[in-house]
Amino acid sequence: MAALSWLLIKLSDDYSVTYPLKIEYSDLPENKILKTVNDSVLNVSFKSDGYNLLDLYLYRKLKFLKINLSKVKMVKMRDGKYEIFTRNLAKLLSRQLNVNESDISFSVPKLQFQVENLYSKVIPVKAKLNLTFKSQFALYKSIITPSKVRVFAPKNVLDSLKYVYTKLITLNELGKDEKIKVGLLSPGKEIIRIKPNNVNIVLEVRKYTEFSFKVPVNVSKVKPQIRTFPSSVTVYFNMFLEDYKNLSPKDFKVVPDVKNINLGKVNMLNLKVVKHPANVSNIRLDPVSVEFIILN
Amino acid sequence: MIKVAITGNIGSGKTMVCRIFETLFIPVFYADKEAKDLYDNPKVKEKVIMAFGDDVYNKNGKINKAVLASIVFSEKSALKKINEIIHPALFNKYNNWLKKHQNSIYTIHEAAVLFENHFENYFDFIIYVYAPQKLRLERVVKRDNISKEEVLKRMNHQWADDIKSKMSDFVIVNDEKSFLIPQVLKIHQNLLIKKESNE
Repeated sequence: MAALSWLLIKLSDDYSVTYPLKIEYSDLPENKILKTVNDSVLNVSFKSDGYNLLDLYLYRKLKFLKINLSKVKMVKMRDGKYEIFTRNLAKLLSRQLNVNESDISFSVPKLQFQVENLYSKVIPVKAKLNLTFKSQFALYKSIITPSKVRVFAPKNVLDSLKYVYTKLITLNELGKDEKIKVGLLSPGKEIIRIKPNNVNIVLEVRKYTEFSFKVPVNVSKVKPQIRTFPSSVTVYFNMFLEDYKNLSPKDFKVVPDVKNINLGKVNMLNLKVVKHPANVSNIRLDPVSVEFIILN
Repeated sequence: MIKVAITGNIGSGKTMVCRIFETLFIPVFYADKEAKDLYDNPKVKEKVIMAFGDDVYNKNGKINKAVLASIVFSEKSALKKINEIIHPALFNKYNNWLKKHQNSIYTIHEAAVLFENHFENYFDFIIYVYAPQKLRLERVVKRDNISKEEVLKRMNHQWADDIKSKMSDFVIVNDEKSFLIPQVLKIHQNLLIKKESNE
């Protein structure tokens, strides 16, 4: 009982305390970023009764001083440097600490930091995909919305940015279209801002088929002049049905590989496909090599 | 002038061998192609319709190969009948062609069916193009986009390779392992020697 009475008496007394508060700046304008911060911790001393201090210690966990830069008065210096007089923070703290403004004092009279201007440009978004498909299915196309985003960064950083990538999208055994909302990967979270920072992706999944064309073996560049047997070969390739109607054998070019070959010393020439549409895959030839005669 | 025939069972690669001979400036009469063209000849057309009915020609007046093949390959008498119409006209065409090429060192007549029609005595030399049946089957399925069964049905109308090989003067092996051109060049040299010895 006596101990309790003693505690209550002690709590009603005033005490002077000092708290080291970690400074957290917020709400810089969109086109600015903190470059350097001179003071990361501010020692705050104040006088308060024991009840309030106990409450601060147990419940309010006083560790940070959050400074909203859109609301405090900043003094602009040279080279992007700014100062905030700590006395201007007393009002903010008095509410937070539940003490009189006049009872608060700071270890330093002002806080200094440097701000860098950010530049912006609009750049395309690329999807990072890790997809597997059901047999005979493949990605026909992916549509990203928005396809471009605005990126804010220091000028030298911005100049080096060509694309923004999405977070890795991993999907397995795809056999139909998928719609996904995905975040964008910032190459440097501290100094780069991306707006918006997520995009919608539609993955169009289609079935592909094997097609073939009879394509002449093009010997026009071969010296001395030759004739191959057979003179045309079959090119097999995989393609989406949607694209096939726009295709013709002229979209392919097959030539004999004569690099480092002495035509007088070989009977056959291997063939290679030197031109083909971008949207075909798994190209193979039948036959893969041909006999030839050197024409006089 | 030396008359040479090139024959070989379906899918053996006769045409490719002929293309190599053409590179050596030897004229080639492609009998099967010429025979197909004959179906557009009004006199031939009239006889074919008389023998097999209107259905063998489609609305555009072109021969319906599928219908004709189904008739010919299912009835031996039909094959005889069509040969009786086509062969005289074809030989007539071939003889006219020979006259045009009488100054050539030798000429080549390419036909899939030669021995079966007993035409071997018409030529001075016969070159047989051989390829294993499995390979021929694969080639024709790919080339003509038809079923294996259909190809086998056609193959059954042709004589066996060993019989035809024995009846030929030269054999070219087109099995995708042996080189074709050296074989052709060797035969060409042989024929040149025979031509000189004839003169």
